[in-house]
Amino acid sequence: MDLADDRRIAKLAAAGDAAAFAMLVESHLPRLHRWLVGTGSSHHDAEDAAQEAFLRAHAAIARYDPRWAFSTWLFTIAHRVRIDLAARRRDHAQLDEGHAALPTGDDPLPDGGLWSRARAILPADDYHILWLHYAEDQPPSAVARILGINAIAARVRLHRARKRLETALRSDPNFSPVEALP
Amino acid sequence: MNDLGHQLRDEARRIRPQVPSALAPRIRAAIAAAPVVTSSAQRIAWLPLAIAASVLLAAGIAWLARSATAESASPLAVVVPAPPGITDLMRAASAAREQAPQHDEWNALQADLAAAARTVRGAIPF
Repeated sequence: MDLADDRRIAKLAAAGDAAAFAMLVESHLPRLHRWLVGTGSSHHDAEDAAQEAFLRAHAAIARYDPRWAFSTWLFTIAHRVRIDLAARRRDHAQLDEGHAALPTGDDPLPDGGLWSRARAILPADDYHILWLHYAEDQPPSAVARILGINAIAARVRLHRARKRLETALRSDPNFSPVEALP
Repeated sequence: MNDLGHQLRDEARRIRPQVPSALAPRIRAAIAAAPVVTSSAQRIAWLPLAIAASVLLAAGIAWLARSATAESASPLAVVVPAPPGITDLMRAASAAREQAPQHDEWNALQADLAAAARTVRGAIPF
């Protein structure tokens, strides 16, 4: 489903078309769930956060701004939901400080791969920026919107995270993908 | 694959979503149970709000206009006196002329002359 389809379906959903919103759930749930798990939520938390995010999106669908991709809007809501859930569990510090949390249960990231290394090396916020940009194809302006930060800050932190990861990979002779780096 | 960005994208494509099959139906059921909020329903709430805002704005403008009129009249009345008429100015001028120093000197000169005349008349035996 491309961006134009998303916007057309979101418009139908805003007019009260339940089937249209169900289509949005079907098409965006897998990426949303993968992002939540890939950036540190347990499978159980990711399910709760995804459900809450879709419920909030449904309640606020009339306020969806079609200048942004539906996925950007949905991820913005999900990011806030996750912060709310973490705060409710007095676990906020884990999201905002230190390295990204390791998911409990089945880790979706391949062992020894770039993303698992990035998660181990980068601060949680920088890892989230890297994921949103490279795994979810969100442009820096959309990343900034999702995380509630300045667009320039998002660009700077994205660049910094990439450089930091690149430096760490170059200095690790045991990491095979580093050989492919220029 | 010649840079880190491409490698990250490529590896991300290979990470398959692991969504439990029951999650999507669960979300759809939760949405169906939630109250329906449509865009038209949300727009209706703006109408009374817009009317109330217009009434408040009109009342505010009227109040400001009244305040401005009342406040601008009183300082003018106190600070700027009514201009004097031409007859008042002429009366004041003639009164000032009568009290001028030349008049006093003329009176003094007349008195001196009268005294001198009396002296002269007293000195003449006839």
